[in-house]
Amino acid sequence: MRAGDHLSAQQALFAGLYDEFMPKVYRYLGYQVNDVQLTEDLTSVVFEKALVSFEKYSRDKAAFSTWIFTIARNTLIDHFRTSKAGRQVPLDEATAVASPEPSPQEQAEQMAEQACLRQCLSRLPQDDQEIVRLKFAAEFNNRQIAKMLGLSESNVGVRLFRAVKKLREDFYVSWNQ
Amino acid sequence: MSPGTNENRLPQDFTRKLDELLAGQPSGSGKPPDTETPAELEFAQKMLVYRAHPSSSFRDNLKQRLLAKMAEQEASRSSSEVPTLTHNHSQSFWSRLRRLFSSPPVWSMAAATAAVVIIAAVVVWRTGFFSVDERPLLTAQNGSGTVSIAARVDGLQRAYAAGEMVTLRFSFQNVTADTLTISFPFDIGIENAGAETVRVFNPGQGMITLLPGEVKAWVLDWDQRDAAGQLVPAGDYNVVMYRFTATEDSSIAALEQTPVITILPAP
Repeated sequence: MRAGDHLSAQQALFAGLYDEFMPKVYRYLGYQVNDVQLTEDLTSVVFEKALVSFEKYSRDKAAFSTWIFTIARNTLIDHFRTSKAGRQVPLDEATAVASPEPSPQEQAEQMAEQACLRQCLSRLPQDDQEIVRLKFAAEFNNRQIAKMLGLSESNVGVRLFRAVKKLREDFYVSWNQ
Repeated sequence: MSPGTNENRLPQDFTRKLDELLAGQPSGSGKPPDTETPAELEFAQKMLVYRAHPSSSFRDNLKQRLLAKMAEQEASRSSSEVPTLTHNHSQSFWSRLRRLFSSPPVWSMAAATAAVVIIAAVVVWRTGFFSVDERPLLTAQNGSGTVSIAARVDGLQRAYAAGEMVTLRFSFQNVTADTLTISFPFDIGIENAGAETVRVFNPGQGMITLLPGEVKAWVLDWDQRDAAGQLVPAGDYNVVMYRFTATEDSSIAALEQTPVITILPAP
């Protein structure tokens, strides 16, 4: 299947949703796992699962964003359940960061900051981690997050603000140590 | 401003500005700047910078793989639906037939009669009753007379060894619409390549009656000897049937083709 090939209506619909949501799913998974290859593998698993079930997906029941991130969350849970590595985030690895060709020194600093940020995120309560991931990676609004996690919208807002505040404080403490 | 109100306002302001950042808008647009959230907002910008991004090659490869898989699934679904459609079509035919024969007796009788007529027509057609006879001389003019008896020779070999018996298996057919009574057998001649008669088989004195279309078989053995009783030399020899008046209007007997007998040289 190449660009320009004739797509069926179902293929065209799936391709459009893939273009919109794949980067968000990748970022969401990338916040949790620190390895590029693993992030790609898990992203592939998420969309292959989505492809298998796409025929059963009903837009009337749930938005595609809610549906695909439910698959992504379950995929992550399955991964950590079976992975011996657990949720530990090594400091010497980091996922690819979009940056306009930084110098090697800048690149090393960025990777170190990114790794520190992951460490700090991993120390947050699980629900708060999920709120941060859904906000920063999936770019959901607070109402969508509230619906996915069974919380009130105002509660999501408060927890998000506190989580970022705590992350910031933890980050600068860790970074300056 | 009460502490409770401020506690609610800060997260709301932060959420609004963060949503603007995520939407690609500059933070604080359209709203008065907040003095208490810039530190958190600045850190949120750092978090956005450090988001992971898929490479274009990964994005394109995964997309192609998924669409190819989807195309395969659609193709396999289509192919698996074909037998179902055929089955349904077949069911529809037989159910229609059953409904026809479960109709009132008049319709059942008519349907049965039509089926018998169709089957009979197919059988007759397959047996060649209505087929056009492809033999070329059956109705053609031959010389000054009309062909009444058509003859053919079967069983000839491609070549005969010197002295080997040549067996000519004739079949004579009345190709007219009338019954013919004729003397039998006919005059049969053997001619060499120079059209010289080397042997003539004289007609018998018997009489036969052929109904329209009826065929009479006759076998003639030639020992490769001429009228003097000598073996003919190697070469090609033609079998000819001389004109025979079968009826008063000069009907004739004719061979459909001139059979050629090839005699090989003696070793």
